[in-house]
Amino acid sequence: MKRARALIATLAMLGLAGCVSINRVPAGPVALSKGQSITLQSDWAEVTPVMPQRQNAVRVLSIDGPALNRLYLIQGLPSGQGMVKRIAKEKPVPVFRADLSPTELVEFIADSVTAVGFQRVETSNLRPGRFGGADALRFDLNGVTATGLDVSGTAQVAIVDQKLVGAIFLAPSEHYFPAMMPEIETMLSGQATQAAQPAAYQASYEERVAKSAIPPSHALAPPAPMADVANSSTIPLPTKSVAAARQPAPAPSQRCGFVEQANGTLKLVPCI
Amino acid sequence: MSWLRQSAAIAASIALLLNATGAAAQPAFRPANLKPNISSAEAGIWGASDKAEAAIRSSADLNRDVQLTAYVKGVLCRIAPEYCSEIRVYVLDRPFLNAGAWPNGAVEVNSGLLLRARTEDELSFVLGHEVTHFARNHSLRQHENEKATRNAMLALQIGVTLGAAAAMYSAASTGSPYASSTIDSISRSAQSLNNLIYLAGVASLFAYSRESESEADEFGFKRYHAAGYQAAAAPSIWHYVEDENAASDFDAVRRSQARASIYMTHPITGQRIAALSAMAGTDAKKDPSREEQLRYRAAIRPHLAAWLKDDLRRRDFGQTLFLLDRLSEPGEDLGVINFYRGEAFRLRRKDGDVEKAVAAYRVSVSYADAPPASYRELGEALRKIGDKPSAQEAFRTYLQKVPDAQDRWLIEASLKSLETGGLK
Repeated sequence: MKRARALIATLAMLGLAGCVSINRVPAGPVALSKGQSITLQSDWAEVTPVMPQRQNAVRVLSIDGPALNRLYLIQGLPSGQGMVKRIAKEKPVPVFRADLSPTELVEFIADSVTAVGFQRVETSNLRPGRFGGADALRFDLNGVTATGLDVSGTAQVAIVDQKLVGAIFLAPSEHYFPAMMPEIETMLSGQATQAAQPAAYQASYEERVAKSAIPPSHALAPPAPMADVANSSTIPLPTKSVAAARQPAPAPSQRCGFVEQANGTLKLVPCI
Repeated sequence: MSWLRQSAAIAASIALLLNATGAAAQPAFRPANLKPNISSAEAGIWGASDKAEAAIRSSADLNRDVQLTAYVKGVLCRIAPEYCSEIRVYVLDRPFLNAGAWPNGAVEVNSGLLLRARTEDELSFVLGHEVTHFARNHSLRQHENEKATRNAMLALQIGVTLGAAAAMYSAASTGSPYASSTIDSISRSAQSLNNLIYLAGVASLFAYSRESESEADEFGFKRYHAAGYQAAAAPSIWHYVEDENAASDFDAVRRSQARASIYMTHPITGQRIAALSAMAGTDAKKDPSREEQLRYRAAIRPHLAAWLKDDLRRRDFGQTLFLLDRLSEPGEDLGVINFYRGEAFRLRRKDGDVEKAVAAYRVSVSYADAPPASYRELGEALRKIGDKPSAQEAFRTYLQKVPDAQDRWLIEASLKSLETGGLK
């Protein structure tokens, strides 16, 4: 009997060795970069290993599983990299650049959240924030999962030493987001060593623009010739969000039509 | 090389054989409102389709604009009045030119198609193609064909294996000193033949798919043309696909339709254009009038900006810029179109793109339909190239246009910095 148990345990261990491990991340400070950290208010689980598309500088934590709540920690994403890995040359992903304007930075986060699988991602309530000693951007997000579940989120990001640091929290709008928000709010606002100043983020951005690669010799391009058709109509456009991102569906598959999948279910890959 | 040729010849022969055994003849048109017998295989497929349709209804992609959906359904009903009551149309906000028909009568239409069609005629041809898939039960037949072909492949492979086993037994029985190498040779030949049967089987499935697509083009053409739509629209939309692919930033996309292959689900675009042009005859090259284009634009206008934003997120700026040029043709919506042209240059970040973005934003703001963000992005781009006064003016106009902008504090900080000379 004992031998059988030992054999089962050994087989189970061997089986598990082929699986990824989900480690506990205890409550307490987690470094994002040299001068920036966040303090987790409770224990989280590190689900990074089950998020294969993320870059090395991005960790993902969760309490109830990534479908119910996830906290992205961006720990110094270098310029030229995206939060998610590019899977094919013809399928580019949003890329972070150190000289992104504040609006572009918010757009980058919204696009990245879209690239990890959320849809119709919109941002709102853009406000100044602080990350340790750095000026940050704080904003809220909302979107939908592919199956139509409403998701809410909040993010705080800063560019420190030409790298992106920040935290993005996402959870279903019903129950999970409001339930976690007090902890997340404490975590994000607890980083301020001084009150956030509206002008401060802009000033730090301007510093980066001044250092950016745009050569001063760039002359102002002459205005393009006006289009010769004057007829135009007015289209009401949303002004609420800085970046509204809608998820493009996956690229058309090589195989299309009504096909039987490996598990025996049927699937339509549309094609014309 | 001769080995390759021989293999190809054998594979082609097997494919023909499999086509003959496995492929069901293309079906006749299904009667309207026909429901499958509950005990039939078709009923099972309908059940799966119903589940998929339920998923579409709650999908995040679903465009819930009732008016737009009614418009597309109206076009479909015009070309297929007999199926009008049983077909359900779903517009999906997906930035790829595509559409699909489920066996149960659900039709998906991507926003990428609606954005790229120039006229209702072009849209109606694609809908005609999809209705043909439904009307001829193509999905069901393809499913049946796949099963039959797989069975035929299996039977052939078992036959080859049994034959090889018998030959090996016979070789072993001779007691010849070369028996071992003969057995080895028979074994390898049988393996190669089984591999060829597999490849030929797969090729035969794709060939059937291409036949169905060609048929959908043919009957789709007849259907939409009979409903009074312009014959030139069918080749025209495919010409556009070819041209947009050629404008792609990516080699793989540019090459995607260049060569035919036996493993393609669809005929190559060039062949489709040739077939449709032949059907259109002398009308094949007739361009749509501006009025026709504007009539169609009115139907999609409420979604133009959102769909262009979706398209930009594919990050194939060559294709998006090509699309924007096409959308500019009738000379309307130029504020929106040029804003997104500017956005394409801003996001592409190639040498000289900041200047191109400035030029596009400037054109945008000269039209009444320019999104307020045009002014903000114009200001940002002008600032990057060092034109402080113009940048200030653009930022101020942005704040006037959107007094409660959520990024007001950032823009005000920018203005302050520009006034004090803090920016390069």
